[in-house]
Amino acid sequence: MKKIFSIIILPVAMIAIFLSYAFSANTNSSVSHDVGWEKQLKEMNYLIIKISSVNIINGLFFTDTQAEKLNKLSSSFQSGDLPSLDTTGNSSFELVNIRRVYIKLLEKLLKKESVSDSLKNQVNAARVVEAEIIKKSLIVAQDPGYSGTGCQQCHASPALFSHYLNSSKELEIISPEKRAEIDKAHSLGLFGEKGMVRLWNMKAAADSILTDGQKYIMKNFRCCLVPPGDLSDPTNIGQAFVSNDWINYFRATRKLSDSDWKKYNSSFILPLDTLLRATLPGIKTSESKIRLRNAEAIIDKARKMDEIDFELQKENLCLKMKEALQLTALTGETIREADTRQFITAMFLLFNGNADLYEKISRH
Amino acid sequence: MPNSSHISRRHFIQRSCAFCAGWYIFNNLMIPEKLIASSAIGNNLHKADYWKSLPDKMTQCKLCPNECIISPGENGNCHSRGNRDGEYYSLVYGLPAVIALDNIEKSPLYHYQISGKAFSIATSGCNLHCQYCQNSDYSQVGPDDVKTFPLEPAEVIARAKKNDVNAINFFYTEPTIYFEYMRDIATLAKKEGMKTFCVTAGYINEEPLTELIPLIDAFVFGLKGFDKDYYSAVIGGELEAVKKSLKLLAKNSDKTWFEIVNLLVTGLNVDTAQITQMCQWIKDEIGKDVPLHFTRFEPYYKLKNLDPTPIDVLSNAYKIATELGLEYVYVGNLPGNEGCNTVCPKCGTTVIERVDFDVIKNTTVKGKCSCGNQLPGHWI
Repeated sequence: MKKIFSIIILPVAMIAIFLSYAFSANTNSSVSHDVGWEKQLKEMNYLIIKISSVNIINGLFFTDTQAEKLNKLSSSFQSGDLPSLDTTGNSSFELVNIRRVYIKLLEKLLKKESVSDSLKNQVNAARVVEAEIIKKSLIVAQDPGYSGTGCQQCHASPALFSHYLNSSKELEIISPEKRAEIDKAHSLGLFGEKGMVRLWNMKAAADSILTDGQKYIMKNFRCCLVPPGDLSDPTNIGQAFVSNDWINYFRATRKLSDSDWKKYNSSFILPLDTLLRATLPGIKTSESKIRLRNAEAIIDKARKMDEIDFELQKENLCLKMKEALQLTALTGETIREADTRQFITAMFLLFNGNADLYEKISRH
Repeated sequence: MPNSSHISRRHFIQRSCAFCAGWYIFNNLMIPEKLIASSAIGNNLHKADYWKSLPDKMTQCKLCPNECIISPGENGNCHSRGNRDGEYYSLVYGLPAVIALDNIEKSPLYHYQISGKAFSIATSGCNLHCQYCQNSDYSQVGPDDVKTFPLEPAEVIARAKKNDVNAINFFYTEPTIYFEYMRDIATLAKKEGMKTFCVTAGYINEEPLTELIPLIDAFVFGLKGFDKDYYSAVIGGELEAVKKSLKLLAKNSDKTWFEIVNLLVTGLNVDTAQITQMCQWIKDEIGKDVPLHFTRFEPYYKLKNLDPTPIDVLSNAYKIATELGLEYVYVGNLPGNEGCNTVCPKCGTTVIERVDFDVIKNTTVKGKCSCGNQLPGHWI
């Protein structure tokens, strides 16, 4: 019991402390005026896509021939005039810790080193804070009195949070049209107008290098910070939904007696809420409640099973949990057009600096 | 000043001697041998088959080529069979350590289609000691060292039905070491019209394997290399015995289906000459249409110091096998790689596409390509 609490409560407490630390500091920092919120948004976007890109390249098992072809294509894409994005420079107080953690993670992934549990927890906590900032920046930018340009058209600076923030306001579900706009805006921020057009023109060439199996994997790929199969915490962030972690989660819930479950089930549900909010910054409270209720029903089912049936059904339960949480349903990523999907694949594969990764694969 | 808690040297020596004497009497005279053995392994003894008595209550196991000679109270090299007072028992009967529902593609079994998943089952123990074993937590220990799920054969069938499963897969560890348990489950499964699969390294003597063949619908046979020194040093067995088992399966191919798996371990069994020799032998002695899976090694157990198998080593093995004329060659543990797909040897069309353990596309009709070629195996 004590162990379960340490598993569940400690990370939550860490996240809470991290959150309060970051947001209390917000009130008296001079924030984006001197560092440039626009620049920071782009750099954060860069870091997340770069990390995801390294993860997927490590996970697709390219052959030498594929790596050579991708190397050429990636070098050709990068030889054009792309905006220079610096990930080592200064940033506002809200983002400095998040960036530090993400950069640390990226360095590990580039060296193909394993990610320690401690770093995973830091990444998870950082993502939770980042998701809160994203959510607030979106809500503030939707205020009728707000106007911004570039990335700040949608993501208002934290400096404005206190002026505009109406805490009861929630974000709308992303429509297919809106999804296309978001994809375009994000790639504009990363590559500029010319770079985006060049990438669009290269998408078919990148696609042709992949096997059908790799295309199938890419079809379901979305941003991923910690690589799948290397997560120990059920509150993992990103696209990874790792059965072993969820199996351990279910096992922990099954250890509690009915009376203890009644008393302490929030200790298990709260991390799910955190996961939802970190993965889907824009999720409405009502949507979140429905998902949590569905998740709890699956946990109840798992708790009622005898040991043999649970062993047999454990992976099935994980899949049901994934369905219950519907992590991708609200982001609109499942409703992308085929050519947009191909463009996103090209973005992950040909991203800045990836030529070096392909070079290493070919040399190996 | 005398201290009440103080013990004199004489008292200390007296007490120590008394304790040692008591300990000796308790362990050697008071507890009968049978009780020691039984307490050490619990009460799940099931009379074993394939063994013979030797003088002085010794036994010799005849199940696998190890043919362990075992003293009373001792267990075999496989941790799963033991001598208890001159009788020989299976120690794992009815005590699986792993149960799960899996796609049979995980085995890997690519030419045997079933609907839905299979009930995978494994006890602890193994008669080989592969230094890279992925399941060493179960395979290199006995039943007392792992959590087990008491399941008699009839209960296995009942649970499979309850979970809408129509196949039993003896998987994860080496099934032949729990021969009696597997045979009894398979016999019941056959009566119920269920399919049975066995993922084995084939390190078993001819007689028990012959008994098993009619009870198993398909074998996945781990041919772990093709060099006798590699087999003895890294696997802990003899290559010739394994080849003999594989030939026996080939001889009985009208009764059972089988596919071969060869795990390529970085720097140890990836030599082009060795792979060529193995493929040639498979073609000549086993058959060119037997599916051959080359799988990628991941560092586990005692070989954590090695790198995963480079993809080009797998591609090279694939090339060697196909150029020699083997018709159904696969590459495994590489999600997204084209080597996971089935290509029709007659027209060259990719007819079945797989990612991980999932079939994502199948253009055959009951295993028949549109060119008219019937793929070997069992198709629904």
